[in-house]
Amino acid sequence: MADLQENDVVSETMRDVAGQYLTFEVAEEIYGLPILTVQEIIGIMPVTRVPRTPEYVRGVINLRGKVIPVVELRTKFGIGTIEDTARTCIIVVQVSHGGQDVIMGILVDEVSEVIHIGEDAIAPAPSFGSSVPVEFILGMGKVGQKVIMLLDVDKVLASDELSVIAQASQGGESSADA
Amino acid sequence: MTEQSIAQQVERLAEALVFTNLGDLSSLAELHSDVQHIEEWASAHERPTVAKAMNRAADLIEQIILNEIADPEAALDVLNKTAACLQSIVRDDRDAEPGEFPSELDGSSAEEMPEETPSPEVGPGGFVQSSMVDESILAEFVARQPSVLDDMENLILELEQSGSDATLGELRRLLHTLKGEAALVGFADVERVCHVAEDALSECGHAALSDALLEIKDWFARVFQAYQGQGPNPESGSVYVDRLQALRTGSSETASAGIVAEIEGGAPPESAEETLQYLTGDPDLLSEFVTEAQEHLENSDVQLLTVETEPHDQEALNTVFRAFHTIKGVAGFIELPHIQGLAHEAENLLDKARKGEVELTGSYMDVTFDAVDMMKRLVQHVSDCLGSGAPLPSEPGLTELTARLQAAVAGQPLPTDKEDVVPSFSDEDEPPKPLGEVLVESGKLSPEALNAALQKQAESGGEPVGELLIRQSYITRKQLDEALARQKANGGSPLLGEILLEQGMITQAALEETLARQMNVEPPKLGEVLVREQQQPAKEVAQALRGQQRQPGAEVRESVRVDSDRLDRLVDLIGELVIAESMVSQSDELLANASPQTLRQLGQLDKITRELQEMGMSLRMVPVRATFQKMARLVRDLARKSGKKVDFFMEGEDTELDKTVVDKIGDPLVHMVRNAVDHGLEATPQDRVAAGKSETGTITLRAYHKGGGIYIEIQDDGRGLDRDTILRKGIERGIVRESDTLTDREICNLIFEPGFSTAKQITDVSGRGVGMDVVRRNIEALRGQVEIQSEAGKGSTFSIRLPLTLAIIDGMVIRVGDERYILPTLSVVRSIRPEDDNLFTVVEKGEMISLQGELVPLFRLERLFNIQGAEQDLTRALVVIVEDDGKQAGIIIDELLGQQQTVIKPLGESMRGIPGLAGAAIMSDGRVGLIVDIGGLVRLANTGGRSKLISETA
Repeated sequence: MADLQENDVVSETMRDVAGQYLTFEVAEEIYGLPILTVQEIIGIMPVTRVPRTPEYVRGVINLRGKVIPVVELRTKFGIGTIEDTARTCIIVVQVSHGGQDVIMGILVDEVSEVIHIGEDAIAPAPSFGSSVPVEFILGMGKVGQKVIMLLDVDKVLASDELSVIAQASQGGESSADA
Repeated sequence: MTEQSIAQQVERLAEALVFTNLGDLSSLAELHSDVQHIEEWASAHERPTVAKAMNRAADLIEQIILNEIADPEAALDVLNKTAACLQSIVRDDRDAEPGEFPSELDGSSAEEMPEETPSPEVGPGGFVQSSMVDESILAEFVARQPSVLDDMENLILELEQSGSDATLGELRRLLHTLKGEAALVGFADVERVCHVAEDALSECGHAALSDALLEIKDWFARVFQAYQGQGPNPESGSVYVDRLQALRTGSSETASAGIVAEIEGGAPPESAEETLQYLTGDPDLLSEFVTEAQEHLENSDVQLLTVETEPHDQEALNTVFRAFHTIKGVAGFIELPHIQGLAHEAENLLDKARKGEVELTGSYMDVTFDAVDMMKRLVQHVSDCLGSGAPLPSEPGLTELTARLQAAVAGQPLPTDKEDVVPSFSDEDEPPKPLGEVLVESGKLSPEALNAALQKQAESGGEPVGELLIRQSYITRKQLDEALARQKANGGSPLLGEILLEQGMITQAALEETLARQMNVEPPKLGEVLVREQQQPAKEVAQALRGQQRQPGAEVRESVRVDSDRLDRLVDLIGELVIAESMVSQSDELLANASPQTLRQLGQLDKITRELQEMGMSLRMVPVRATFQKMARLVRDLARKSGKKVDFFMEGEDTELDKTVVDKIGDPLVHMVRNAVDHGLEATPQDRVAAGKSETGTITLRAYHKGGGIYIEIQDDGRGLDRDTILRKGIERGIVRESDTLTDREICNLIFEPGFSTAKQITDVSGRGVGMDVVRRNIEALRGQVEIQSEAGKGSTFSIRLPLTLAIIDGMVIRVGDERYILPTLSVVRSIRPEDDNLFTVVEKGEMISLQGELVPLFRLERLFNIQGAEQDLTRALVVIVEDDGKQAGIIIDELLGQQQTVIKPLGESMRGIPGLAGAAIMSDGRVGLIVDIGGLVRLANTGGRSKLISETA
């Protein structure tokens, strides 16, 4: 997993990117998350909205006593929201931020399967033309007819961004570290 | 003393030895005195061998007490063997034959023994069957070896490949254990080889040793096989000893060639300062060392303060001595030569001090404190570098401090104070002594009288049944006498109880109960015997008892160190359990169908869950003592620096607080205590005298419970806050307008403003005006509040109010639109339904509500938090009046849903610092609720929210 994170220059080698991925759908597009970052998948549950956070933060949920934030990928990628369906899922992932492991949920339309994507099936991310900002993408995997966008989960969920608004506004002293 | 009684004493000693717990200092001390008694007896009865052996045994116990022995278990075993010999000697009433006592007893310690006692080559591998070793222990030891040796081989191979320090450490531990066990069961040669191998490993690293080590391992295997009769006797171990020795000496020459550059254990302390030093020890051992050393050093600080006021307090001196001694030992083991060196010098000085050769006062005291401080820094470096793997930074003052310590050790011993000290500390003996000894030493009791009393104590285990029966008023004295006479007349045949029963004087039950009581009776305390026998006036016994109680080891509480993450997880899970439980027991479905029995069981479940929750919460509670004690040191140093005289008092240091709070309250306390010394107290002792006070100022630190919160107060008897100066400064800085009329409280609170300082000059202690601002912020972050009471000329009291725990909050659940929030009940004053005629809109200030003629600003949560669907018509909404920092504000909400105790959860790293939110809580339905931070909310409304508010309401 560490190798995956450090691989900034995607075109250099695809070897580090190859591996097992959990694939899921958001707005008909297929994405993949490195399986080792995924902790569990849970069905949609009531989410408590947190004020003064970016729009793509759906809110927080209670994961067996731990409060974790849930990020909506649709909004994050600017795709436009839909109503939750029975297939809507929260993928719980562990991302590393500033040396610390942070647990977060990603709200996706539908979870598909776990597949292995080999080195030779991965191409570097296109520099333009994709619906997702290029820095979020480790590479494009091709399995059969499908193209899978392999996400760099640490970048997508860079936690600075979650509290970016909070930081900008004043009064960050009274923190939530109680 | 008679043969009889010495036999008893030996029996007792043997028994006590078996049950001795190495951690129990007081029982070890008792052993010590027992052994000494036997020694006295032996020398009095011309049994020199026994006397000598006892002398050694006493030394050995002393070493165990002082933690000077690497393997106390083995030492204890030696003592056990000694006691066994002693038993047979006393039984046969003879002196010991030379060599009858275990040979280990003669070695200076179990550790150094192997090289000094050449063992006769008797069995395989120098195996000597000692009569003292239990066959089964020996068999068990040998049976275990094949797997141990397999482990050893794996380790050696792994080490050769990876060269990792963890493996090296493990291998060394394995060798060490094997050495100890081999010594115990009599494999002298194995032990010797292990010892040399251990030395070689620590000196020249593994690279050159792998081959030799593997051969040794094979030889061990052969030795054990031979013992089991499965092979020929192998060659003597001295071949390997020689080989290893050769490698050791050879390695120092080849070391420069860079073969063994990984390990620089042998580096002398001086060079350690110049060259970069890396941590080479096992990381686990190192981190354990850091924790342990820090604890020791904290404790040393406290004890040194005691020594400062009471230079003869042996207990305190010994504690400090032991701290350095332990640090030295461990530091040597894990290759921290600079720490070892410093500890060694400090230990030397302390050793002199506890022997009374030097008195720790004045500059000697300072150098000792400096040593503690330096040691703390060094240990901190180790802790820092442990994570980063960086080289240890050098401490510039170390060489100089070492030199000062050496000078202090070499310095002429100061004349000792000849004042009469409490008898129990009057000499240099460390172990807590039995009462009897304390009395004998102080010359209040002769040894003979003591022994007589001791015997009496031993004998008076059970009182006669008759006496007991009388005491419990089952029978009268007369009845007893009658029954006894009857018994006598009958030749004493029927038992007294039976006679009484027959006569119908007592019931069967009463007799049985009394008999049981007779069995259970504890022997009376020695002090009681002495007083009863009128050997000693009660007062003297009481004094001696007090002395005895002050001895160490009395208050060792068992505790288990637990990773705090695991603890948090446990508390989390308990919280979840509580929620799940309440969901089940309040489920309508279940309650509708429940039988009375189910209901009862649910009640039981509920009770257990609550108890579990309480227990979970208490797990995190620790006393504030440690934090308070740090302040004692701080006050001392500050007072010295500023030339003031200060008495420092602590109260309620056992008050328990959440660990997080205790950790975080330290910094604010330091600020406030500094302020109290620097600003609170008058500038000089003369000023105090001029103000009609004693020249010594008083600072009191106090902790107590009150009304569901915990208060920490810092009180000084100094000048008090100068309101005029503060007000003037406030006006100067533009915080207040000249026209404003401020209450006393508001004036005092000005000192919490950022950058506010009335000090005319900035000292290196305080005066920059940053302190109090930080103090308030820190305390607010702990959901606490600070208040000041001050009277000019009489002093000030700063009181900090803290919640009992950070984990739980009393909250009021409210609804705004579709969302629920929790307001901390502490901040809520009341709630009202506003009417049209007490609502105002003031230009530049927004919406206000008038309460008893006072205008309170109103904030709409809906707008601050951007909530959809909230009630717009204020007269149909609800206003919750909250108070923060002495100011009131109204928060407009839709509905109050109820009150609830909730466990606070952080919102997580990623959502840190959202203004207006203090955290999250799991609600009773399992969903997450957000806790509102009132202070943050008000600030938010006044800054970001304001422009919006005004534009909308104006």
